[in-house]
Amino acid sequence: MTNPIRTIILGATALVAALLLGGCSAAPDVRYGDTNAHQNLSTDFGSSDLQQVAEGMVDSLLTFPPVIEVTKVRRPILSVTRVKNKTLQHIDTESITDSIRAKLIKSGKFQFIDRTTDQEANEEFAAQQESGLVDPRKAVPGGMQAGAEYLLTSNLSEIRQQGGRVTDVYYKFTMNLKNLKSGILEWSDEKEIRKIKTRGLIGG
Amino acid sequence: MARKLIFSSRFLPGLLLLLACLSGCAGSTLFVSYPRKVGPYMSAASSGKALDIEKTLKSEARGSDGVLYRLERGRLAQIQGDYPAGRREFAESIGLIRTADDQAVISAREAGGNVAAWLLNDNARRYRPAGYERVFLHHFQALNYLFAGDLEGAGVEVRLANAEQETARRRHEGELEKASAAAREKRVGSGMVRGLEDRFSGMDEAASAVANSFQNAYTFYLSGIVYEATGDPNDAYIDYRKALDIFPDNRYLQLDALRLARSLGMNDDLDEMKSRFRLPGDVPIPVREPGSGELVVLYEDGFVPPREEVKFPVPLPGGGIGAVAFPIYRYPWTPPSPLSVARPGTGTRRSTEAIAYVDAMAVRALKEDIPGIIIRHLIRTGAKSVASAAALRSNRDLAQVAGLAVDIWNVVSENADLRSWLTLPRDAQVMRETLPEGRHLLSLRAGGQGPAEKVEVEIRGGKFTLLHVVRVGSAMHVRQVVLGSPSGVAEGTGRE
Repeated sequence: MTNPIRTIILGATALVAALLLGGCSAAPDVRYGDTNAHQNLSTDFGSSDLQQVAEGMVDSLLTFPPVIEVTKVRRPILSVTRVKNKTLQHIDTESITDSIRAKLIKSGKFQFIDRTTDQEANEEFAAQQESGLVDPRKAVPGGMQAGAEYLLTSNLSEIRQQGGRVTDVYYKFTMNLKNLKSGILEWSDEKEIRKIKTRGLIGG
Repeated sequence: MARKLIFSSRFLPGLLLLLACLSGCAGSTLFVSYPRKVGPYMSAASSGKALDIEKTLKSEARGSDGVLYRLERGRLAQIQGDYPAGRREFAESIGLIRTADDQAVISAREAGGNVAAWLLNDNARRYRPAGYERVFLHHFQALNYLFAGDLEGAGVEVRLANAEQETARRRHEGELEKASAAAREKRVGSGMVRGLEDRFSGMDEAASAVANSFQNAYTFYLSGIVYEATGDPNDAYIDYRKALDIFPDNRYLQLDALRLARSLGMNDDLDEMKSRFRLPGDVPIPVREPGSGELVVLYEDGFVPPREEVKFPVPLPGGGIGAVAFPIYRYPWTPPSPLSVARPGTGTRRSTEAIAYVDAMAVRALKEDIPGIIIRHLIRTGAKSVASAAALRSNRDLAQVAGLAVDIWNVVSENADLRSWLTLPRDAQVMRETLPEGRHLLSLRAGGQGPAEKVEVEIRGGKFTLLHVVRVGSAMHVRQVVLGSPSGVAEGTGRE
């Protein structure tokens, strides 16, 4: 009569012990990864997608014949607006914008206007002009900044479809370069990324 | 011998308890009903008492039903105007739901809960928020983003809410098919089951106020507002039209659809809607003039009703006694009472109009779940009658005692699953008005003998001012935000 009970108790104890030990055996594995390597962990818009998009767009812009023509003799002034997020995810679009702008700056073909730091710049101007601390001959005069000739705008949208265990996510990144003086759309391109995920059949 | 032991009276309750604990005891509602756990916090909110969200339902939020308790915590935070805490809690819930959705189709953890549910009751199953709850989760998360001055984040959340509505619709269609197939297989529809189904018929009146549990015009409306504020009138128009399909008589929705149809040049739509709405006299379609802004009042009234338990003993097929316990709504549905919004000194008085009957959606969701509840009950009755029969067959001297113990266990362990998101509003209503730029005094009064409040709203040219009014019990919580301005949030002016 007691044997089966003992077996059950022993079995349960062994099971609990195994579970506890399994949870705290090894130290976490941390290593450096290649920033360009493809990391397909989920259908989310991830770091490798960001790299792909930024590189693809910048290459496309810099190799567009009319753009090559314009940038041959001088460096036009560009203003980059923040990427508009029209997806189903909270994406740090500022970071995509930064990547694109950094790549364009490194190409040496354009000059840039940065409107995101205007508030800080205004505070600095006020300090120089009004605080009485700065030598008026050395203070930066206001109203002398250059205006952008071109506006670079972009959109990121997402279409998500789900059926059974499969999730199919389609991203489209569109970018436009507009000539502010003439209003002409000088260049436009889009890049598509498609990710498909299948839920596992058996798991924990 | 071993089999006999497992099913014998002395070890059965212990074994079942062990199973219950393995499937996650913390915050479990196996033996304490869910509404009883959340009730005290709802009473506190109703009397305007401030809660420390971190300490509210703390251990429960970490337990196996954390997803649900975090919904409650997030909503309680939002009601008392703590939008950042609300956002944090909802983000946790969204993460938990996502993990569950991404889980393998056959999952060990899920299976553990289901086995316990066969032996104990439905409370042992891990809580999966219903379609309408998922929609509201993203809806209220969008509101949290709006009050943080983040229009783009709100845009993501309303898109997620709309996607949830679509998913819920498809899931619902799939489940209808599955349920009818299962019903055929289990011969559900026989006398006993029909008797069970009759017990749910009292909910028909409330359920009939909505076509299904998940279509949510309130969410489409908020989505429309967000799209208008981000300068996407085309997207806004589509969502106002979707909301109109669900609530065709809401006058504010009608006017919004007409206004956008005209400004987008959709003349066919405009003519069709004009004749359909039959506007009294010559109601002017509002025009957005320079120097004026939009006031949008979002009014959420009361709490959604809790599920109640119906429990009665039934003889088990193999001898012995079991019990049937089902969740039910004993809820006579009444139309919502509007919030009156007057501008003292100008003689204007408007009222909010209903845009979501959340109570009816909750009742409907339970009705849609009945086939599943009945099937799980039948499986459980099978398991419990095996235990009962085994007890009767056991040691002859103890047979009666054992049989009685198992019967008591069967009755005690059978508890209805009363879990649902309880801090949702009973209903939602909206009002919209174009006002000149500047500050305006509004006098708000909830319907009947409800509380009243005076609030000064700030209107900015070409912008939306959202006035979020939540009435629970004798407390009226009023907060406002101007959309699309970087500084975002205007001071909350509500008093409790």
